[in-house]
Parts: sequence; C-alpha cells; structure tokens
Amino acid sequence: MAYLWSDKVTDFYYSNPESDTVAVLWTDPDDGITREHYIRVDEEDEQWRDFVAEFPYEEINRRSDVRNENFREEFREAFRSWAQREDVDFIDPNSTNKFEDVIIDFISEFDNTDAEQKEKLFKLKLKIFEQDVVKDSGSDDKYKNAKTFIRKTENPMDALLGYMVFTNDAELKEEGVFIPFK
Amino acid sequence: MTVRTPVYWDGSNVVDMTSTHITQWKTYIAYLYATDPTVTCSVVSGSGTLSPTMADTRLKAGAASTSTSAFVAEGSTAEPATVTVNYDKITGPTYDTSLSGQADTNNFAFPVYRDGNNLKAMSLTDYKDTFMYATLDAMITASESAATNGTYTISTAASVTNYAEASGAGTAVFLDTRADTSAYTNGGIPETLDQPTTVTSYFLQRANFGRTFPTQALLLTDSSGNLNQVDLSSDTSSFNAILKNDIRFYAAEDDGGHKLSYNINGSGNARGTAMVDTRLNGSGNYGTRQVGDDYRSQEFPNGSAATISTYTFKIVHV
Repeated sequence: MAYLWSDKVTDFYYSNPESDTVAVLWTDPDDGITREHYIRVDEEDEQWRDFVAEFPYEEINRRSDVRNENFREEFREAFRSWAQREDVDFIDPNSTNKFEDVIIDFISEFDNTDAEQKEKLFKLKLKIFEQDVVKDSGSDDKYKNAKTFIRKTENPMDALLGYMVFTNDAELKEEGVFIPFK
Repeated sequence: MTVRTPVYWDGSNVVDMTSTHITQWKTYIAYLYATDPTVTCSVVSGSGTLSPTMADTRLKAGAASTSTSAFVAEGSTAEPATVTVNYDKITGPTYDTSLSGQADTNNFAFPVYRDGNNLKAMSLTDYKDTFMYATLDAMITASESAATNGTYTISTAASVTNYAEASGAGTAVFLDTRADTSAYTNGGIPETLDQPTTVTSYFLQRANFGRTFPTQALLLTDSSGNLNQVDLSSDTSSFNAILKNDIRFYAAEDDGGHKLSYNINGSGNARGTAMVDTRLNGSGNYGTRQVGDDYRSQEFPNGSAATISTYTFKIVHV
C-alpha cells in the first residue's frame, strides 16, 4: 500500500454529519507540514478498503467522538458565557412547541437539506454510538452492518431502526428492517 | 485470458521468470508509457470536460443593521449567507488515437515462454494479456507507485516528489475556502460581508517516476529459431520500442476493456485525496458596536467546519 498518507497519519475522523467522508491528517516528513487528505466512505473503492484495513471503523468512530466532544465542550463553554449575560431571557412566551410535537416533527418532517436538521441527526447518531449497548456490541457482522447503516442513514427514523438492532434484536434485511414482537 | 510466464537465460539454463521479474517488466512498461502518455487530462480556466461543476461554498456575514435608539435584536439582523464559487477546471481524458498495435509478425514478434518441454513465442493475445493488460491493470490501482506511472492523481501540495503538476504553473483545480472568522470584529461593524480564507488547494498531478530497467532480459526467437535477449539498457531498442508503442496504443484505444479513463465521483478507484468543500456550520455570531447614537449590529460567520460536498477523482478502465 502506498499512499501519500501511508505511515504518516497523525489523526483521522469523519468530517461531516453524514459520516460519508473521512479527513486524514498526515505529516509530511520532508517539510514537517501536516496536511489533510480526504477519503469518501465507499466499500467499492480500493483506497477506502486499504484505509479501514489499517484503521478500523471502531477507531474512526472513537476519534470522531473525541473530536466532536471537544467541539461540544467549546460550545458548552460559549453557551455558559452567553447565558451568564444579564440581558439573556430564556423564556420564550410565544413558544408552542410540545415535546411530542418536536419528536414527531423531527422524524416525519425531516429535511436532510436543512443544515440545522442535519446537525440534529448527526447528534442523534453520536448519541446512539455513545450508548453502552452499541459500544459493547462486539465485532459481529450483524452489529458492524448496523453501525454502518446508522452511519450512512440520512434520516432519524432509519437511525432509530438501526439502533433497534442493538436494543430489540431487530435485523437488517435486504427488504427492510425486521423487528420481533416482544 | 492467458497470462504466460516469460522465460530468461540465467547463464546456463532457460528458466521461468519470477513474479518479481515480471513486476519489474510491468513497471518498466509503465515508465515507457509515462514518457509520452496517450490518455491525458489538463487544467483549464473553466468549462472543463471532466469535472462536474464543483462548488466551493462558504459563509459570509449578514448585512449590518443600524439604529439611532438601540441595537437591532439578534432575531432581526440579517443572517450569514452562503457564497458559492464553482470550479470546472479539469478537461479530459483526451485520447491520442494515432497509433497502431504491433502485429504478430511471422508468429515470433513476442517473447518466448515454456510450453511443457518446448519453448514457444507468445501469441498476440498472450502478449496483450501478459504485458499490456497486466500493466494497465496495475496502472489503475488506488495505491500509487512506479507501477502507476503516467496516470493522474490529486494532491494538496503543488509540488510532490515523483509527480508533475499538470498545469505546469501551480494552478489549483479546486479551492476550499471558508469564512475567516478572525477577520470579523465588532470594532469593524459594518464589516465587509465576504472575508474568505483558503483552507486547502487541490492540484492535478501526473505520476512521473524514474526509470529502472528490469534485471532479466526477455527472450525472442528469430526466423532461424535462435533465441535472442532483448536489450536491457535502451528504451529505443526494437522490442522496447514495441512495448512503448503498444502500451500507449492499448491505454488509449483498447477495445477489450482496458482503456484508461478518469472521472469525478463515478466508478473506479479514488486517486489521491478527495476534494472537499467545507463550510462553517454556525448560525451566526451576533456582534454589536455603538458609535454615539449609532447602534450597529451584525451577524458574523461562526461554527465548526463540516464537509458539505466531496469530489473524488477516479481512474477506471473502459
């Protein structure tokens, strides 16, 4: 295997909420500069297969989680600073949003062209991957396929269906998702 | 498909070449191709035939708001908007179709292999499978080396060892830009709306590895039945010239599914880095500035960078 990044990788992570592209940081020994190299997640592509052969999905997930957690902490800090300002009013008297409405709207009216909604989907996926039942699921193909399914899905309903593979013994099939009665 | 194992003279016997020897020959043939490729891509100023419109997007600040009595509230100031710059700077693949393949002259134009206890000259089909197609297969791998000589890739550096930048002038085929958040300050309100910084430049590169002659000579037979070793020290010796002609011919004109081609986001193997459009994903950083009775407010780009679109340059046989 010979790529510009071979043997020079310093970090890697999913670079978007859809988790369909990985950013690989590699340091050029000739000039000491760290550069970005991007690979689209594509099992048909030789470069991607070579990359995951060396850096498995679990490690990409882990590093992505670490990076996203850093961003979340920065956001929390910024939010705390903002919230401590005297002119901030948390109560929106005009809000009519109910919890159940928010959930149903998010699932049934999801728009994957909307950056804000895509970010919410990304956070949902992260939350799923943070669950112990997912983290501790092992390397069985059933669970690996489910993780890939969740990673690639473009709507919250499918993400939750993928999650049910871990929680409800659901199975991903060619024709859809099989969910057993409990 | 019949891939033969060529033979060579080891000083006392005619023996089969090892896989290492054969790889050396394929790498040498790739080098011959790289000296004068027949499938080329070039960098143009616009309207390239290969690249789809590759969009680089970034956020710019919303327009500033002013009031003589109080700051315009965040909910009423203009939101950051998206700026889009399209790139379409790769043309190709362009095929040189001026060549003809070497014919099987007198049935001994091609190297010899062992058939049981006999030595036979390869047929044209054997020769194509053993040398041309095997070399062209190695040339389209995602992993790059001297075996992929003469083919193209994408890099984030203008100068890369063993590669020649396709434009010859360091012209990027795609720029990924983002809003330069450090350029927006409250003291500067009203700030210039679009203040970008280039995050990554992407360059089209052609592999240009040096030559290494194979260590063992192929054997050819002649009309008298003699075995002759091909020249190992000249690219222009008669058989090496045939190899060069034919790899150039089959790369550009093969009708057996081994012609070289390139695309963006199509089928094939990714070459080099994918080109990505990244953009800050924040909903706006609200800033204010008061100058006497002039209350100014403006929303600046903010957030963390996320990949919006991915463009992968690929090589494939057609």
